[in-house]
Amino acid sequence: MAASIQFQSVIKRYPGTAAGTPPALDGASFDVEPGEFVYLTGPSGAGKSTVFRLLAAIERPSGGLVLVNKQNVGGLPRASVPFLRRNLGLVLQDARLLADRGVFDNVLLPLAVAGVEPREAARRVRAALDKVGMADRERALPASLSGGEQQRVCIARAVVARPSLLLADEPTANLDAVNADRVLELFAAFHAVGVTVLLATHDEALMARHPGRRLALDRGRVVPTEAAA
Amino acid sequence: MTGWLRAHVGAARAAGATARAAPLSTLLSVLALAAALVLPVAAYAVLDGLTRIAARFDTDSQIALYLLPGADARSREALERSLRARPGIKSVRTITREQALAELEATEGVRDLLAGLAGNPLPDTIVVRPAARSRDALAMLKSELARLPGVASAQGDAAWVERLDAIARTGTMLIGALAALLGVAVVAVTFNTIRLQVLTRRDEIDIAALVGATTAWLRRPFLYFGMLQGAAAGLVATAIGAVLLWVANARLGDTLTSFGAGATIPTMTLQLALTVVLASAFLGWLGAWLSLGSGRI
Repeated sequence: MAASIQFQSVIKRYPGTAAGTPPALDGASFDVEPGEFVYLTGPSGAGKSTVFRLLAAIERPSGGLVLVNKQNVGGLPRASVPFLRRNLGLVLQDARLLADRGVFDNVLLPLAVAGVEPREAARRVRAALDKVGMADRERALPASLSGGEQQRVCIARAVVARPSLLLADEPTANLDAVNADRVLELFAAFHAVGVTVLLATHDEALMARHPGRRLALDRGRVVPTEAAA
Repeated sequence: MTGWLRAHVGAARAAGATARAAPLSTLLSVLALAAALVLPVAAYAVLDGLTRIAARFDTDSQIALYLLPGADARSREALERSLRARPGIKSVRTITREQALAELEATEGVRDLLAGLAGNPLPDTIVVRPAARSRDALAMLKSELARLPGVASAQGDAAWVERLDAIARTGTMLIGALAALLGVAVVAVTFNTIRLQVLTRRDEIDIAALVGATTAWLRRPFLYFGMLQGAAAGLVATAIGAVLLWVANARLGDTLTSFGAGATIPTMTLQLALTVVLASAFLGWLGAWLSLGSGRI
């Protein structure tokens, strides 16, 4: 089942910020319907990464409500957070892979923490690597992969546990146009099978080539798309 | 295999892999912990051995009842019978004044002294061996026996027992304090080892947490590592202790044999070895647990 997202007047103020500094999110409100493909756009410092950090319960909102599938993420007890994250696929700008583990073990991690039976886990890892075109590199260490390949491994890791929501924070920022297109095609393929996708980018050309609804942020607020440029 | 068991086996394997990844530092940590553990282990084994040797000697306390001068044989025998019938008394032995004098005369240098006396100054004595060994029970019995008719005075001889008990108590207390102190050292060493591991594996921990690892899942490999490292140190300490005791036995064998047939400092017992391994495994686990708490995992 695809997931829905609701931000209701969300404020996020990071501790230690100087008085008078505007909050990272300043009353942001938006909805993402189940099965939607949404681009989150806006300049640096607009609050895009904060949206992802709140959705993954890395941070808690200072005010307002963050709902995933109508569940208040900000009010989740600490012990419930891992179970929320198991239903999210998270891809960040910098491919965060375990440097001393091969591609296979990196993709296996979400299934290992969820206690999936090893044979079933191995089958699903190989299927995910096959989807992202990395089946022949399962023994390779991250350092031996290109930036595009590392990002594809991250996507395989994000989808291997079959999440209902894919969150991608500037996944193409460090990639050339060809690799960026390949990565976007992968997200489009997962969206086609019903996964809700929220993807942050400010690459206009990329968004033009791969259609999706745009949601613009500026200084912590949702603004009309043109205003965020 | 159930999910729970699989998670524990996986965590134990991960702990083993961590040890294999840095064999030298793991070995040095184990040796440092073993060095801390071997002292109280060996000291306890020696104390235990000495207590057993002491138990081979006749360490029963006794109370000597000196009878009134001029007591006749009939009243002495009656007193002896009543003492035998009394509960709490293990044995009764009479030393007549004649036997006592004969024993004294056999002692070198005393005969001339006795020759100067007009008669036999010694009283009849009944030596009582109480069943009880505690100081309070002996004192109470002594006071009761001193009040019996025909008894001039009673003298207790619990000094040997008291001295031995005091030595054993002091030894046990010192070893306990030493073990507690070195136990803290084991916890501290493990604490630091795990803290370093957490620092070097911070990325791995963060990534696992992002993909849904629970706190228990993140902590488990470190707890296993602390526990296994502690158990390994306990095993090494037990082995070193056993060798030290074997060497001590070999060196002191002749001296100890003179105390009685087969009297030796015992070698490491299975019970002691198991206790040491389990205790050090627990201390290792505790050090890891405290370290993870302070490292916010």
